Amino acid sequence: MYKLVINGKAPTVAYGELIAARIVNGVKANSIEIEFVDDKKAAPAVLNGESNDVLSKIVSGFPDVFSEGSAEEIGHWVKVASEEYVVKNFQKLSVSLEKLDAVLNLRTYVLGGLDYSAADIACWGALRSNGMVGSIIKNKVDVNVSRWYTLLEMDPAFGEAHEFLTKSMQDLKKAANVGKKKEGHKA
Amino acid sequence: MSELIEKFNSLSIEQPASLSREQEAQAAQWRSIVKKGSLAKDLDELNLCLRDNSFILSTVKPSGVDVEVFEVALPLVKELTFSSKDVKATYARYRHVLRWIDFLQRLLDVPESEQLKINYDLELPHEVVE
Repeated sequence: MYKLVINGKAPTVAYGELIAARIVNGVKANSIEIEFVDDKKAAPAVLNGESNDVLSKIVSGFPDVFSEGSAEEIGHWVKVASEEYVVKNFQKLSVSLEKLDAVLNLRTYVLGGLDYSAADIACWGALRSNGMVGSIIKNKVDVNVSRWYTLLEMDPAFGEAHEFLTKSMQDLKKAANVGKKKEGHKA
Repeated sequence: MSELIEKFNSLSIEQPASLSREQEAQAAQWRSIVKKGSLAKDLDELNLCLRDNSFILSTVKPSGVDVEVFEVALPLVKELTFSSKDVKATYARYRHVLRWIDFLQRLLDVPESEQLKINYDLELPHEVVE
């Protein structure tokens, strides 16, 4: 049994990890228990108590769910995504996105396969967590990136990740408030 | 029914339950272009459509319309890249059609001898959308 804890208040929310876990659960129900924390200082994602290489661990733990792409290719993109796509420096981010745009000139998905792979999950998740990306996608600065991003967004595993996170965080807050409500104001 | 459509149907790719009016209009437009045999002169428009959408009807997976247009587009674009003096310019101009053809020819298992050979390593200029 896997347990994934996502920090909804992390400066870089672990969307890739959340998306991957929900894809796994979609194929094999309840394989990964997903919990949320509201703590700016906590790691963005923790799998079974460890905060390193969480996405790679989910991917390698479920090889039949993530069958597209070699471990090497995926490792490369996980690294690029976590190092380059979460960057808030506009100029640096532009250079990285232009490179991704070139890859997507002749490819529908990042690795060129017929379906998305963990590489797409890593890249999309990192871009989703970056507040600067929305307008770049909308304005078609890198038109291939925009097309690819929109394609994945249509898939509920990707497109509904944010809503799922928001709702889970609200539930967390409600649960925390239970018990410390207006004591001494009994009707 | 053509072999490709048959092959496509056998893949049981999930299709949208219903199409929006825009999608219906797109489907009608491209089917009429295929029927008239005028795809050659509408290739730039197809490229534009596939610039912003992975598939013709902006679906998450290819639809039957993609396959119908692909059937006509494959020989056309093959000829175009063969006869082209400036391959890079042809790639740059029709990059989205090429991406889409490459996706469909592999999805539909088009025999390698009939496929359009794609040179993924060709460096194309960054496309600027006005």
